[in-house]
Amino acid sequence: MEHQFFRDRLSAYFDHELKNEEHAIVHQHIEECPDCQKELAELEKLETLIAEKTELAHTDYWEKSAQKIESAISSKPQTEIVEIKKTSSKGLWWKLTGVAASLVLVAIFAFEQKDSGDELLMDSPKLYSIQNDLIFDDTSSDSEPELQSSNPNKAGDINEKESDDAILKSDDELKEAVVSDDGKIKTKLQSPPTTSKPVDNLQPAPQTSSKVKIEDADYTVKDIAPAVNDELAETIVPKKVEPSVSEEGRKKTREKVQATNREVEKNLNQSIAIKPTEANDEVDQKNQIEEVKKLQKKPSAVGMNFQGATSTESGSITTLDKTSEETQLLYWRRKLDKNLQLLKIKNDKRIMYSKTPLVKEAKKKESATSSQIDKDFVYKELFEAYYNIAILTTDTLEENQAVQFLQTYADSLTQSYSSNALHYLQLYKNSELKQNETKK
Amino acid sequence: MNKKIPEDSGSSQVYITGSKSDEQKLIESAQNGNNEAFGKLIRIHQKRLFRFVYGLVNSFDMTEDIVQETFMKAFEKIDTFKTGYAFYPWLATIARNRAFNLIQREQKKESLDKMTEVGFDPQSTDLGALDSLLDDENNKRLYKAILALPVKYRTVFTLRHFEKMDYAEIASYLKIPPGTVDSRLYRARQMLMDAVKDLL
Repeated sequence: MEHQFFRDRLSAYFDHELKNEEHAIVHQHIEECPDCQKELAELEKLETLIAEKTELAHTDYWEKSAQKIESAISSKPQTEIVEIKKTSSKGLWWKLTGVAASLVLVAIFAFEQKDSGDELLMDSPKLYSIQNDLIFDDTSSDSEPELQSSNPNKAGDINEKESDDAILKSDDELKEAVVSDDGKIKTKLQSPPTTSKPVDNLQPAPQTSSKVKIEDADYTVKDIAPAVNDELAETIVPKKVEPSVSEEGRKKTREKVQATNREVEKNLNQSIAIKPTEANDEVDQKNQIEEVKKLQKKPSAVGMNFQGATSTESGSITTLDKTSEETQLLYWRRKLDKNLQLLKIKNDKRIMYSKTPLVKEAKKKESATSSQIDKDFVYKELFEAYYNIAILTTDTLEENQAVQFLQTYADSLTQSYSSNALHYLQLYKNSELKQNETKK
Repeated sequence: MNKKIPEDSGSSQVYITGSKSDEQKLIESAQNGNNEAFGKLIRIHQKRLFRFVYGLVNSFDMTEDIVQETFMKAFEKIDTFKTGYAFYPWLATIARNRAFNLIQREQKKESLDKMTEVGFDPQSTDLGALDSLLDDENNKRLYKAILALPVKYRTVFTLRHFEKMDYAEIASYLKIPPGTVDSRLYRARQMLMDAVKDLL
């Protein structure tokens, strides 16, 4: 080892800062090296000199200094302490405001998800209308919020010059609206002293008392009268969008969906209590086997691991298969709704232009790339759901809607996720071809 | 057994075990509202504190202000001080923070790294008012040599020699690698040895 290696470590050796092994090596070298020994001795002398010669002298200065400090302490007015407290409480207030704002945002998301999620699933016309919204204007942020605004300014057209106070106050009022409607979320918000006027005076959408319970085991959150469904559908449907389906058609498909839902529930209940019947009749067995073959010919859903029944126990095969298909369809519809909701949130201008500190910070952290990646993922999930609905559904209208959606995005060259749409569209076309071949 | 804290202890938190020392009694008395007891604490620690702060800021007036503010802050927060721990490290922490805040304000620096790299390099080695607080010429020569160090070396030197902080503590405090602490301290010592060779 070079001598410089040891020289560089002398200071650390002197301070006992070297690791054990290094210390041992340097120690061994010092014992053999007169130069390093000399340098080490100088370090020790310097240390002694510093300890002795940097002490400050005992003079009158220190007593005077101490007295000066004591008089400063005793003469310090009490009001100063109060001011410090005020400052800290002001800081605390802003923290509370931030917390309140985040609670409001969470409540809005939960409220929107709760409302539109239920209705989207239960009422397929709403599903179509939102599909249309996406088809004709996927960047639309003009979709009317669930809460009606009495202010001429829409929630989506928030003026960027609004003060934070105004937005906070509007959020507070929104929160109050949610609280009054739901009754479950309760927070104590102290509105800040502000003279600015609120931007939106948001009110909850009107809802009537419930009568008919929607027959779906998973959706029992709200009891909504059938008559109210139309009203709610109107509040959710964006103004600009023209529905491509007539009202009669919507009613029919709604009835169909409800009928299939009832059947699904029945089948689910039956599947639990299925008892295998003895296959005494050979003809029955043959019929059942033929039905199984027919079902097996239909292309399986992509991305799903549902296992159709392969059991040969009579009495159980067809029921389970049908159930699994309908269950699959339900699954994909739910997935579609979830992703539509996500997309809605991403496109919501209220969030984009919100000036609340929490949202600002979150936006700073979220890079444009990550935001785009999230959107791509949502669209991928959407296309997958649409594809599976198209091949599973017996409703031609629903099928056409799904295919149309895929077609629109597959044709678009500007969107980064159009290739996904194309892929699923291709899969659908292939499955159609296969079906046509089997028919022949 | 009364565990006496060594005077040159650099540990930020030294817990005192055994019977109460005089200092502990003074602290408790000050916490009970006895201003005279706090006055005694000032007289015990102010010199050491002054030397430390001066090593950091290299300005007599600024050092005086910081020391005064440190004791005023300590008096305000005396109730929060946990009895059983050494008083000086607590004072030194307050003083360090005050010193760096003041430096940042004066120099409009944003980070401690910048402070240690640039700024408060001595314009002259004139001791000024400090001259009256030093006994003999050797003291003055040594102080002049210390003040002539570039600030990044002087800071490390002060924390090591006046506050007895180890390399890891210094590195953590100044946000520099321990290897940098070693090299800067080595350089500081080399420069001082060159300046006061005849005194060694």
